Amino acid sequence: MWNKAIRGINRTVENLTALFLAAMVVLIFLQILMRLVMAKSFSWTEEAARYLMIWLTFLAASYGFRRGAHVGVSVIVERLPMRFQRWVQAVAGLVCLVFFALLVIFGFELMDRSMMQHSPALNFPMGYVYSVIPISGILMALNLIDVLIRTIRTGRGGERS
Amino acid sequence: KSDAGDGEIVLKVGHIAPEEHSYAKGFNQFAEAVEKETGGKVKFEIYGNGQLGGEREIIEQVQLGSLDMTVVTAGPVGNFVEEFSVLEMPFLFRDLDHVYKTLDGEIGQELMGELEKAGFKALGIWENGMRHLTNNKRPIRSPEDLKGMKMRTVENDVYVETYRALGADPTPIAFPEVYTSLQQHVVDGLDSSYGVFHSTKLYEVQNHLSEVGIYYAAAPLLMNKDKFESLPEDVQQVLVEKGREFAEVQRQINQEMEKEQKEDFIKKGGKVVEAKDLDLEAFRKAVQPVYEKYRDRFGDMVERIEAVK
Amino acid sequence: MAILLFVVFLILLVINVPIAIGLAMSAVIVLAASSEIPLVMLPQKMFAAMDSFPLMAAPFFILAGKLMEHGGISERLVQFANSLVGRIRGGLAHVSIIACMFFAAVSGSATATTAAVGGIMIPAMVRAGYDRPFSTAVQSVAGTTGILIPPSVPMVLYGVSAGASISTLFLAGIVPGILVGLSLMAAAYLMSRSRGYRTDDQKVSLREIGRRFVRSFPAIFMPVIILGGIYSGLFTPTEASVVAVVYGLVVGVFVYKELDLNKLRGIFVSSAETTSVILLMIGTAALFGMVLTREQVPQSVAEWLASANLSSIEVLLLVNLLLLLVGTFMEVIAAIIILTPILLPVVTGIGVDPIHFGVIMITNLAIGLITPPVGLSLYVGSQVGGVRFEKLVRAVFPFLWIMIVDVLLVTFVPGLTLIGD
Ligand code: NA
Ligand code: NA
Repeated sequence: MWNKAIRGINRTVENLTALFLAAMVVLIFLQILMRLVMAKSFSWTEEAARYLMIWLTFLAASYGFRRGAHVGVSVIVERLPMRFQRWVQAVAGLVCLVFFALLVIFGFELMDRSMMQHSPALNFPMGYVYSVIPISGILMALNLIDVLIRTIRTGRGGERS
Repeated sequence: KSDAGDGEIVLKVGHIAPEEHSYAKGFNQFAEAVEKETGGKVKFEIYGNGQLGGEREIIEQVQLGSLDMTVVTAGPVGNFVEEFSVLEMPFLFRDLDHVYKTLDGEIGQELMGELEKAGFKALGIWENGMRHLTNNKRPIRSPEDLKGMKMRTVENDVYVETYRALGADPTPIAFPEVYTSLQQHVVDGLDSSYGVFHSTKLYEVQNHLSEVGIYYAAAPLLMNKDKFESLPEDVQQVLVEKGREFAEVQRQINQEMEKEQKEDFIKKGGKVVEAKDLDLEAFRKAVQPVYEKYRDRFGDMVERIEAVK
Repeated sequence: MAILLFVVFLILLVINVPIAIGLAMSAVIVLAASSEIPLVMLPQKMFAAMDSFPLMAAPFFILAGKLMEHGGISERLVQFANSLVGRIRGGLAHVSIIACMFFAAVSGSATATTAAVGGIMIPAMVRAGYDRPFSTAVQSVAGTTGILIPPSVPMVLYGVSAGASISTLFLAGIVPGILVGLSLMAAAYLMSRSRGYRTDDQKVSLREIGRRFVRSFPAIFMPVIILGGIYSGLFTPTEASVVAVVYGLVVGVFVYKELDLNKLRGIFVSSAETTSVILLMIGTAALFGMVLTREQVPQSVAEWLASANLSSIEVLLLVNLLLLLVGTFMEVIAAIIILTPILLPVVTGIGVDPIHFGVIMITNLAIGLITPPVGLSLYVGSQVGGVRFEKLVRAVFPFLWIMIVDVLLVTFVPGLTLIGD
């Protein structure tokens, strides 16, 4: 049940981020075409593309953590005896969890306090734009908990490492 | 470090201007005056030059309370308090006298009151000055001369519509890319105040400047409202007094600097078309569609500003 | 407080917390301890740092690189390049350094340069028998020419901060940029000689070279479109990165017919993941940098430097050392914005030209891009090349020395930078 749900969520998030990246390409390419061919520019394409980039950054971070894509220094931990390695990994995981919790709590606060602020071009409440931060915090935490559980059970967690 | 004991109050300030911009000069003098007036009780820690981020970001920091104060251009303030955007309507003001009568009068008070609702205490309305049209193609005397010209703008529908109404092709380009875009002719020109034109070296890649005054760039001096209210009353009073007093000082500084910057531009080979050699009426007439489209957004504010004598 | 910041960061680094999170959490601890800045700054600063249009060139060039890699472009390009320089020792290393310099003349950022050329050349070098960490190191290091050879976003920012002419800065960066490129080629030659790297031993016939040229023509033509597009004023450098994506798509799907929908999904997902890794780091590094700024760390160091009563050579050496040190921990743009107003008066006081200093600063910070722990070019390189961070750091090390020699040349031979006068 849990495994299936996580896999389903990640697959959806993957597709979403791929779609966002594709949309960024279309928007900016459109911006160039409109200017060169029609001698007319949209006022909102750049902003939309920028926000899509930030959305995909936060969202993709969730499956990135699962696959161990995020850069770290593992060389020192790997030299420790197996028994210590597990402990250190657990502490590192806990630090990450605290970070995700902060993203959720303060991301929500930022979102809540920015509902009256409007984005310059799209005139869209910034609160909605910021909503990706707490949402991604939850997704990242879900993936990390899953990896941690596996690490504790088997000593191996991520898909890649 | 900030609460240095003895009841000393440290106010943290951020802005995006380099040291030789009128924001920085004006603020430094304001800070000095406040420190003196409060007998050294209030101290300022100033982070200029965009060290703490861009303008939208800095306003947000003041709103969230991680920064105490900023002096910031009205444009991005409009994203937080929509009423403020009325100042960005093209050719809204007849001249600087009209500007000051509006901002230092009832309407200015009203706009500052709107800022309070969003969590800011406005201590005064300073300025970045009139924005003029610059380009590297030809002198601009009437909207005719703008036809087909690619003008850089920020992503804001009023700005974009204004350029369309004037017959130009508005092209949104992010600020860090403006210089190279002008140099490589991705765009031909932009609107800019003398201060920004000078401090960002845009004169290196532009030959013509027309003093049309397409917008007036006001610059409110903003403070976090909770922070302001947490201060002793005598300090509050000094801040409000000096904020207003130095609005005039800063405007004076800005205008003197503009004169020097203009001379410097001409000395470097730039060509300036002054207001008296422009067909300003034609510009005003051309932007009427912008007013038809956006005037209602601001209630009766446009009429009231026009009526200020 | 500043000590707390570094100590916590180093501890988190040692226990293998991802660097992005280590930067954020050490900053958070300092923020929480000083209690004057609300923690809502964490998401606010991260978001604001990512909210930049020029930054978008990074994901687009990463995507373009992957499209070219999987769309058959890199293979054909490499075959052609091989037929030209394959017999020279370290031939492909030279090709990739030259390609980086070429791309540097198109893009204003180092990471975009590394991503764009690395996406094609690293797999190619590995296929040709080069060691993967070495190939990735060459790309990560050569990519730093992206901010030395104009256009350069950091130079624009320096010009604005220092009140120096940006066009003169651009001119001043050309010779040092080429110098860095050439010195890296010399280093690559020596390393390849000791490792015995050489790809093709047989001589390739002229007709075969011609055939390979025709087959790889769409790939060779891409820089022409991008360079031509920027310098003829059709689009900005960031927009050019999108043109590269569309061009890569068209060639991969319709010309070489090696890209299908399934492959494309994979390419887009992995590009999104890479983008995320880099941008997340940019976001949290900005928070870390903000804490440094507000703790006045760089300022105090600079003030001490100004008060120490040293000779001009000593000051310049110390300034270089400081810039190298700051470059290890801070991202280029943040470092420029914070340090320029402080260091400029120090060096102009001993008679250094502001343009010259701009190039010194950017060359130093270019080295910062390839020094751990905060080294964006290393992050991009390890992503694009698929090499573990520590392994890459080790492989980059020999190149570091060469670049330090370059910095000293740029510092003490002002003629290199002031040719534009
Ligand atoms: Na470049
Ligand atoms: Na570094």
